[in-house]
Amino acid sequence: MTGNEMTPGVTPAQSAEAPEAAHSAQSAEAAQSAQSGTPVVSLRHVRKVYHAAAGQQVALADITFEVARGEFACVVGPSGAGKTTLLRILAGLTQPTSGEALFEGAPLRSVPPGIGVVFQDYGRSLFPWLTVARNVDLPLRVRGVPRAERASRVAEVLGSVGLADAGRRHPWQLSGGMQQRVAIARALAYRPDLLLMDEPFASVDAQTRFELEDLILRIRQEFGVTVVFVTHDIDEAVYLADRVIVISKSPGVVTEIVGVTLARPRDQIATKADQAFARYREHLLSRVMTRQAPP
Amino acid sequence: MLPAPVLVPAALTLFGIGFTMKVVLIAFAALWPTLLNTLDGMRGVDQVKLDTARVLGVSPLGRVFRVVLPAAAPQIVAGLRNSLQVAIILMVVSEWQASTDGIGYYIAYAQQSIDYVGVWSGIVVLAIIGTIANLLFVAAENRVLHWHYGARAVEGKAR
Repeated sequence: MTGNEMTPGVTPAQSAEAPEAAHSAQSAEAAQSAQSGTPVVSLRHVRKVYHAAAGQQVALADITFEVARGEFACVVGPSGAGKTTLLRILAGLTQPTSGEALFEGAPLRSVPPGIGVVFQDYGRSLFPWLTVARNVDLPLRVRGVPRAERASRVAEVLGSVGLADAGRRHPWQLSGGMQQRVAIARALAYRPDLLLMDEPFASVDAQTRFELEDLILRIRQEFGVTVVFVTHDIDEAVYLADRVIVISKSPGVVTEIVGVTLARPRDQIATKADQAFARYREHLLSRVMTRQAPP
Repeated sequence: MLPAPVLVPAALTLFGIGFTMKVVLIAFAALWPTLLNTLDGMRGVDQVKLDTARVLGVSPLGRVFRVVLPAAAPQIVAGLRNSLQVAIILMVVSEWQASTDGIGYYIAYAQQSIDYVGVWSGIVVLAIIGTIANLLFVAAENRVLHWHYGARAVEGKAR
């Protein structure tokens, strides 16, 4: 960090929620998790090293944070900060080299049934040989949910993402934004406790992106799901999050955790026009940019 | 690649003249195009699809049947198409060389008897059989792979 680090310049009430240093954020966070019991996600000194022909590559150096039940946490960082690796660890797809990754208090050794994941590339994560309804139905089918209940749940989640009539079509017959809605519906169909999203709106146009951001805020309310949302877009992170976790470029460490206290429900126009929004944005941007410069 | 008909003499010495030789030979030669294409297709399955299936709770065996095989289906079908051609060629050649019945035998016999009408009618029958087999194959292919051709047409338009 540089000495003349910018103060976010928020109002006194907010400054408690937008602390300058990581340690104060973690104490606030400890208080928060004490209120709501076991955190949904808990990472302690997680380190991930890949062994390549060229030698070791440290993707994540030391990551520690918790996400409380019902919270919306955004993870931001420059590209190459190991954000995707972090999400794979949270999903149980990859094990950390050292440190501890807990989901609802239990170590993540494989993919737990209570986690939904939305990947960035809907074109690669949806199954083109299945119809939209059957894509959404698949996780229910493998869980042995009875047929009648499956049909009603598929209809319910497709309705929630605004695709009630698209069930019999194939994913490739839909626009990009609609395909990502299908992926969201599929991740919600089995009512996960935790929804992980890996830059889910990075490959749709700006207009659709705003729609999907509002959709995910509404859905989070509707399903009461905890969300960890990885993005490189600071505006998106501030708009969506309760807390923004900033990760530095490789090797990834948590440089700061910022609580975002903008009023909810948020609005694409009013929230983004808010002075406080601009200050959060400015502060986070300075953190991400500073870390990118050579030491 | 080895031309399949050269396997006929080898199969003859192993199994003698008869039905067994033809079936074994055709099955053996037709196996490879499908097998190799299937393996290639299975290796090429997108990792994101496999990760997605894992996250959705699909078991390892379920991933083979619900993800790997459907994803490899276009290549499996391409292999089957090659296998069909090889099978028909070998059917005719094996009958021709070492058999006492069948269309291949009929054509060879007619030729030796200088019965040109017989030769040509045998050829026409073969052409009809080949066409029907191909039509059936294409019908089945369109049914199984309609999603693949649909998705590809959309991609083509997008470019």
